[in-house]
Amino acid sequence: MTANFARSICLAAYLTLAACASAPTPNPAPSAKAPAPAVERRQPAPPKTNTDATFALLSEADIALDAAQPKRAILLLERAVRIEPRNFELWIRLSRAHLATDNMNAAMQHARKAIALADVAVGVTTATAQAKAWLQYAQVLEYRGQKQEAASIRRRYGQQRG
Amino acid sequence: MTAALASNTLLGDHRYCKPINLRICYRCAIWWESTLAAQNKRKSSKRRTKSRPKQQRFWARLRAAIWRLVWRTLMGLSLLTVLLSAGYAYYIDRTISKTFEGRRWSVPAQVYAQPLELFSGLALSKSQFITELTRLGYRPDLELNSAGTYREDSRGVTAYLRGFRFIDGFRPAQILRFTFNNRGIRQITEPGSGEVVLVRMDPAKIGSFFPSHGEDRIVLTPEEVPTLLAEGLKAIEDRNFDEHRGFSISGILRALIVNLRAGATRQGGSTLTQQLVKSYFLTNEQTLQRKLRELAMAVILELRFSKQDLLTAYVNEIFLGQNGARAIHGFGLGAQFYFNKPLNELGVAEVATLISIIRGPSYYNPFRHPERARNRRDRILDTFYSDGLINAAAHRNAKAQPLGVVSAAGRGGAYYPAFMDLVRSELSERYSNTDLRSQGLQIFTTLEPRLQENTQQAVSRTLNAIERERELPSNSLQAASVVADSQTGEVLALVGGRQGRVDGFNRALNAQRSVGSVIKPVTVLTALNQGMDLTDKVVDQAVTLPQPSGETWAPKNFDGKTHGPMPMYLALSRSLNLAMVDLGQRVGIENVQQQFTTLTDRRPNNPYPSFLLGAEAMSPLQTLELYGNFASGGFHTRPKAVIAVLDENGSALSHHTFEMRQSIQMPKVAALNRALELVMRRGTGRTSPFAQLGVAGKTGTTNDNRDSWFAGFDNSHLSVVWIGRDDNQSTGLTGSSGALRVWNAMARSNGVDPITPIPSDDLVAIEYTSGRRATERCADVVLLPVRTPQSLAIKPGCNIKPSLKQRLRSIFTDE
Repeated sequence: MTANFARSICLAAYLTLAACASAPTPNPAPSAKAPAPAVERRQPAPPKTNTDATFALLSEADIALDAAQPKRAILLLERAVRIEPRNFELWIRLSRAHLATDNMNAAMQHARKAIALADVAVGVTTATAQAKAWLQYAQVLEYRGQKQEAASIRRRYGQQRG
Repeated sequence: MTAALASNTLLGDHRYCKPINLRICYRCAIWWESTLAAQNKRKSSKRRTKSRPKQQRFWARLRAAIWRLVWRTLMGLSLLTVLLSAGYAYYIDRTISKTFEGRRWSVPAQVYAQPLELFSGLALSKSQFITELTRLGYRPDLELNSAGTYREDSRGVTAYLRGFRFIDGFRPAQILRFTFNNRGIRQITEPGSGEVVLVRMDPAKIGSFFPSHGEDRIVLTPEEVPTLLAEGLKAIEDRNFDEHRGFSISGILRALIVNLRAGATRQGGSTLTQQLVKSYFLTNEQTLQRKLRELAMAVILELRFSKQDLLTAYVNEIFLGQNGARAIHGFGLGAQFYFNKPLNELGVAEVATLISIIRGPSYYNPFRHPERARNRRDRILDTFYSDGLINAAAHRNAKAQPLGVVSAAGRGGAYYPAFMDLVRSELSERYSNTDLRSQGLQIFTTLEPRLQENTQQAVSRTLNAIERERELPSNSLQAASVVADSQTGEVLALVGGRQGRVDGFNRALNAQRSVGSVIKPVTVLTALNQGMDLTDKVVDQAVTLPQPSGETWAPKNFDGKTHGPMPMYLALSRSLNLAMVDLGQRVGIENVQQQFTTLTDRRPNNPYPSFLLGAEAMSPLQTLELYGNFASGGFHTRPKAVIAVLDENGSALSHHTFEMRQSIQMPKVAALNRALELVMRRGTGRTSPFAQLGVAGKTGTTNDNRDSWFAGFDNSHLSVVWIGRDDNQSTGLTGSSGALRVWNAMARSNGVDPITPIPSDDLVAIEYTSGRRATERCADVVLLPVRTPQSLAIKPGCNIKPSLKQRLRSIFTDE
């Protein structure tokens, strides 16, 4: 009974205040911004490997791509991915190489993979990584003839590219 | 013609006149009359003979008839024998020549593991590197005299790497220096050239597609047969090989004398060609008929093929031992099997040991009868020396050496039949069996030998320990395990049973067992895709559902209790059946099944609600495919074992590139994986010593504890483990007490690569047991991604200032 009475009083007060208020009711603070407990918080770990070896393979793959040898580039990049599977840059390059072989499906999926991994990219800001991956995705869309979607992505991420 | 006749008659030859024209030849008429007279005279003489006694005539006629009969029979038989022999020879020739030709050049596909990539910064200690070198058959040699050797010192290792033709080109043999620090490889240098950024070891050969009767071999060309082996074989097995035509009378006589003197069979009289024929075409039966066939075939082979061809075929064919179901044929594989190195790297003593085995692979088995094998090897070395094949120093050195065969555990030419099943299955879509068995293909696979060995050991040892602790009958439990790369889906290790290196039922691929709670994340994912949050409430309460058969289905929790309303993540973490059925009904079982199809590319077999609790038969490999969606961050990949296939000339026939399809949107898979991390940290996986390190997974147990499952992943590896019994009886194990223990053992050997955490800005602090919002000042807090945190109830005492709306709601909802 007491609780019901209190609820009624509160409801009446709320309705009165709401009707009189000139400012909107403040939203609760976004919980994502609330400080999280230390027990679970971890700094993003450094990449498992981020080595000269991977970059050597990446550079060699770039040379192969420039020389119109995309199949060789794919071999080299897949070798690099086996060393460093969560490096989004490698997946972007793989997407490019598949695009060069007209394998649109693989190019699309590898670009999506790059986008997924850009969220946890290390060494560049997430925004930059996201932009790079999305721009590659836009390129694939353009090749597929989806020019409007590609342009939309470019407009959104073009400025953020590192 | 007439002129010729006239000429003949004039000269007095009248034999030809009668048929032509008697009237024109008077002299012919006279000749003809005289001939008739002579005939009449003979007739009258016969009439006189008739007057002899009848008995004498009878015997004479009988004798003549018998002689005629004997003579004609002999002639007929001779003719028949000649015809039959010719036909048989023709048949043998056609048959064995065709078979010999086909088999001589039938090179089974060779299958290689993934090569070890070495670079500065790789977490590989010096001792681990030496283990890898040993696994590949490298041997210590201070002088680094040949490829396949290494030298260790206090600061590092210098290795003479073998050359190898990889998918993307040939790497020549090279000497490299590896130095190490406490993190792994510090630097790789090539003496005289400088630093090397990246180098690949030659890959381990893990098998070949030999014919179904289980013969494996590494086929050598004539040029690849070492001279010492060729000459040594002749010296020991067939001294007259270069002279004889398939058989050697002197050899047979010599063997006969030796055996008569000894009173037992001590020496064979067979030539190398006869031995080859016996191995190719005949059985071991000791009959005259078989011996004659052997001789005939040997002669035909000698007529058809050159001595070099025959010797090379012998080197590739001869039986040298048995490894389980696999017969070891030929010196190429024999060198790998007994010494874990290629034939061209064998020393004098090792060549002699292999030759010694020919006489009796079981009797002279160097593993089982080392003394006997060594004695024979030394006698062979003496023959090598006396025949001038080796000099005195080599003879002395070789005799001083031990047998040098490598133990079974580290035996080269590694043999992983369970993984090979997967390779075979994958290749069967593109290549015929004939191609695989005869075209000399080179197949590069994803297998990591170190991981494979570790996984096999973890399975075998844990099962032994469980049986011992629970006093279960020995070998009553079986298991399977698959390990894949989290991101690419490439299968790195596959164990088909508790005994490795044994052909048999491959449980990892073929055992279809109910997966139990391992399937529950599919229901949670369906809910997330429908807009629910991990913190949304489900109700763990008793439920009875009608079945199409008219019966009812009343599932229960493992503990037999009900737990009421709770957040979804908690139901998953505690693996509560009733809460999952409630969630499944809420999101729609058909939607859960559709989600399952999206994740696995296959329709479930069980259309009923029991599907929600894992009443769905799947193999460990299919379970791996399901969890690959989660481990990879939302991408479906078919588990893959083959990287590329090259033809015998090294040209690429097919390159199996990464193939994937995005199956889950990023925020959803991130949320699900976070919930699976909680399963490990706080739920049914918490007993694992690695649970707090950042791994995700799910246990599974089926009715009556028949199956124990665990599927888990970290940043690098996704693993699935199953334990059960082949007779489908109860094991008494849960997912935690069985399969998780195997995974623990695997993680202990392979290490753990913690999952990269989601950026903390996207996470909300939640009280684990209630699902209410909290802060770090509160106890029992976990971090979860929540789309609408403002809708969550707030835990009192956490110093979170609720909004007015929340305050009002708390009043109305008794929170």
